[in-house]
Amino acid sequence: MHEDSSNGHEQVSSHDESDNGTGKTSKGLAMPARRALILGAAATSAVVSVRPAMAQTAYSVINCQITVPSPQDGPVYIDQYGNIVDQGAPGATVLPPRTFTGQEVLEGRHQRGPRAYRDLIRRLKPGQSGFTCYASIQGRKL
Amino acid sequence: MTATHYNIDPQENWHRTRLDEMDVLFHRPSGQTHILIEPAPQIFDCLIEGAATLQSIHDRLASLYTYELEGADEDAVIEQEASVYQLLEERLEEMVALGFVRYAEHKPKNG
Repeated sequence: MHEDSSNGHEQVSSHDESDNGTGKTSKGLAMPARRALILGAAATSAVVSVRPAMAQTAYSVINCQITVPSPQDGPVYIDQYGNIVDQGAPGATVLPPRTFTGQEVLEGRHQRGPRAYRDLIRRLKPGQSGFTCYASIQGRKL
Repeated sequence: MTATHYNIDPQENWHRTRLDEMDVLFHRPSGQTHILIEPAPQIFDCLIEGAATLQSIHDRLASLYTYELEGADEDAVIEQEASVYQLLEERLEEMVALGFVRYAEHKPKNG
């Protein structure tokens, strides 16, 4: 069904697999000659957008989430001023994880409360949960 | 009531590559790349042939594939047939939302 590309691009073979080698039984009952087409469940997407690996649409930026500290990072400790400190520092307390949406970070809400949240978000690196969301926000600020 | 017709962007607007059981589609106008998994590639194949309605897409795919229907009794089969249309329509609308499938103007023939 797919037309050959004339510019040398890789051809996509037809997804038609109408002959899987089955035929009729000895009783003349028709065996399935077509393979099953998996439709998926309702409200399940069959398309995933991958380029670039950032939240491109406004909806994605607004609703993507950044959780700091992330569960993978382990507990983060802060002093009475909200600064990140070592676990053994006097008066150190555990910083409760908070989840910010892209919209909230755009509005600067992550800068309210302990500055540790802001610092953790700024330190996000590729591969860390929330990095893609934060990078997308930076893209929208430009 | 005229049925909705769907169409895809002209071929110069996209490039498609097969990766095992899924397709990768680069859509130039949006600059986005999409991974299409079943049944999206199959629906896309139908639209390459020209603008089509949900009914014609359903019929075309039914001639090539069997929709997975569960249940032994006829009532269940009828229910699931309705679900097939619903699911195909969802996939079409999803691709319209992403921009590489569009609603096509359909001019009925005179007569």
